[in-house]
Amino acid sequence: MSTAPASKLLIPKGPRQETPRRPPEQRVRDFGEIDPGFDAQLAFTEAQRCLFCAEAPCMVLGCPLKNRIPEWIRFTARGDFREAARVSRTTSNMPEVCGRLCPQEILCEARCVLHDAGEKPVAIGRIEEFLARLARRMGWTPPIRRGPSTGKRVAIIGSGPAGLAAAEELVRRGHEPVIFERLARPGGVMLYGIPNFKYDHSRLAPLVERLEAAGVEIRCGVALGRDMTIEQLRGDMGFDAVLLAIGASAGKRDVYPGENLGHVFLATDFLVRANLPREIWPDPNAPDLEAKGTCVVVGGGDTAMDCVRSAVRLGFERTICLYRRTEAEMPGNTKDRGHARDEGVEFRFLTAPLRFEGDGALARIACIEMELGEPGEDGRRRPIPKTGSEFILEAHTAVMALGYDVEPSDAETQWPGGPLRVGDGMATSLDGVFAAGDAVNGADLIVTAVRGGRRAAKGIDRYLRGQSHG
Amino acid sequence: MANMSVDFLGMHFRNPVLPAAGPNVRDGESLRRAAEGGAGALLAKTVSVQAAPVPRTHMMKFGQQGMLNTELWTELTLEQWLDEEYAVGIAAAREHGIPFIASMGYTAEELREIGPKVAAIDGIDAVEVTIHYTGGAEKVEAGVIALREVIDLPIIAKLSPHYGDLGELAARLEPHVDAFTCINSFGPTLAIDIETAKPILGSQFGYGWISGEPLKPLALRCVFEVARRVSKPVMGVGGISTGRDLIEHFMAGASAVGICTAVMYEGHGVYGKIVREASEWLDEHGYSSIRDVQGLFLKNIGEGQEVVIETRMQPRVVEDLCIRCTACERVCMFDAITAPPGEIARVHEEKCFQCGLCLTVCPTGALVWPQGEGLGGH
Repeated sequence: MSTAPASKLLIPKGPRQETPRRPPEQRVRDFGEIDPGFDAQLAFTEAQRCLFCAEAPCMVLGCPLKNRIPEWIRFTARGDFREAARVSRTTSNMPEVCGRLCPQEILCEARCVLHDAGEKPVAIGRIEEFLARLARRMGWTPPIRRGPSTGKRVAIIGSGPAGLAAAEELVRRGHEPVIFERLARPGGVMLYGIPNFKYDHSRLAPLVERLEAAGVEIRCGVALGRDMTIEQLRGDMGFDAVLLAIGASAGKRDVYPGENLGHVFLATDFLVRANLPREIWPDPNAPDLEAKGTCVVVGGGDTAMDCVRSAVRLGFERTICLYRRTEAEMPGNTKDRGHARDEGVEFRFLTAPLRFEGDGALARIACIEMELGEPGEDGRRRPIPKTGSEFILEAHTAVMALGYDVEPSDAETQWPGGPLRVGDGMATSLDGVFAAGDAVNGADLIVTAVRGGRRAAKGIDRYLRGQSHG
Repeated sequence: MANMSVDFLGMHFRNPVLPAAGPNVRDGESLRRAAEGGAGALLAKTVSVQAAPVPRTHMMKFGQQGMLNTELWTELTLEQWLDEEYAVGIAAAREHGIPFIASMGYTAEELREIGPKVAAIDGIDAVEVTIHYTGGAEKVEAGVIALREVIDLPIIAKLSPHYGDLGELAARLEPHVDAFTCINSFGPTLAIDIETAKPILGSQFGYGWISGEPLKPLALRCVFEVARRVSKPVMGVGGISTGRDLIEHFMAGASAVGICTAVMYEGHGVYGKIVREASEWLDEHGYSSIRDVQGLFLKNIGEGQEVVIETRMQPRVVEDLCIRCTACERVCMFDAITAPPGEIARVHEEKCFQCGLCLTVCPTGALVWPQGEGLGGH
């Protein structure tokens, strides 16, 4: 009897299942999601491809939350979607969000052993999102069970992924979290950062309602520093602990001459205007966008892709992405970049703006071509301006999508600026004050924010029960 | 996390999942692994006056998770257990803060000889007596009476399904024992190697006894039958490999469970896995303790249910769950379902005979009764 070569043994049952995507010419006319995700048949068929390898690198090495991926794929492969969804919830507070928005190609799916057989990885994220969406539709997601009450109150500043995850975990442990959100609606980056075509904002409501049903109070329009201080929260307001889950929402900016001209936006302002109804904008009186002529987006990361794809949908005649290095150095996920290309976005690599020009409002951008020099401190080759290569780009709107920072320091409110430093259990150097999510990580993934929220909840629980932070 | 601890015969178990006597607890070292794997108490393999003359071969897998065996009782001598193995197992139990139960068989004469020797070992909290090879209810009764006379420890009688109505048998033994284990493996049964037309197992005619997944429905019936009849606690054994299996045994009337075949197929960590799964299920369903589900089915159905022979109820297809696999159409002998490839299944009400098979065949539970409650399947 001949022995099959090792690689043969790794061949999965059939090709990776893909969900049908709306054609670009159709999807750019609205802000709806570009595909409906897996249905039961696709999820079931895809789950058969998992080899259930003993090492489970997807979980052990790939997933920041150590999601029990092989377990819930096994249940999916058996058709037991309910049990699969239940197991998936045990390690993640928002599998529907993560399944949809995680860059699986650099996390769980990057570790899938099917790569070793020259095959595409199991579509882990797709299955995860299907299970969570199905569970929601079927009413399988049970209410959060409150632990025996401790009477301890925790103020959570910020209602993004870290804040919401921490709130759920604190409720389970019997504490009483109150979430303070400075903007008009809860959700943080999931609402104010992620465009609707990547994550339909209507999916957010059940997440928030489930927390509220468990007794979590969410106060919107209340900002730390402006409306209250940490001292007040810990003092008069009667909170036993505070969690800073404020995210990283300050748009990074390079200083260019003319950046104060009209129609020049920071990414966060641009995305909010493009994607959200005016009444929930951070500044409801801000001027509207005018989608005319050319929109130039400066930057090459995930935020830049969100901006160019929003611009296309707003109806700009041309949308151009300016990036000062080549595509090989581009940060951010390749999926979104491919979608952007399909949707008609033009890319100009090795190009940087010099100054924004115009009379009151932007009219043109003076640009310069770049070439790559020696690698810098971050290991990436540094872009160097090419002498004499300046040129003019006509533009109506410009967006600076250079990523996000944690709110910079503010002497008036004594805010130290981020990222915040934490020790064991996500405790800061202030007694009873914890931090998690992008506030600690700098602009990072939703899944790492969820992990931070969960860790902080454990740290806060230990603190409130008077144990050490170890 | 739901509370998984139980009290059984005055012993405190950190959880209700024990080893059932078998190769998974064949010596002190494997008992240690059971404790490390998360067992709620330890139960050692059955000893008798002689080491078992175990036929080779004596185990085979059949079906998905079933097993046939003819491996009898411990292949080690009683002296080996008394001198070494119990001590190793008891040390592991102490280390993990869990009770230790010894198992023995079979006849009155044998039990009279073994009982005091085992009971003299410091650290044994209870004794299970197995009736598998005893033969006849009178002999079984004589056995437990004999054992009762020579030891003071709590006695658990492990019943075998081939004795018929175990409720009857349990009632007969109840005055002399403190608890029951339901059930031992079922047999004898036969498997043939058709290439050679000879037995696969090494017993005289190749007979073996069934354990694992296929045993579960029989075990559940026996647990129910005994729990319904007697007031002493029951340990459920038979086909448990998941948290839901544990819950099912508890609902039938068990107060603790034993695992053997699942350990052999999935390793010693399966005790903890089953506990974790059951605890998660309880959390998800709003129960705060495993004790909350104990005897639930018994309470509901102890007096039987109304038998319906006419109904207009029709299964409904939940479209979100249908994977278009056509399994339901294939199994419907009444031609009441059409499921062309690539399409959602459809039930034709006028033809449906309410047999219920499609509901249990559908891999995803997409067919449900109108009340929305899927029956069986998983």
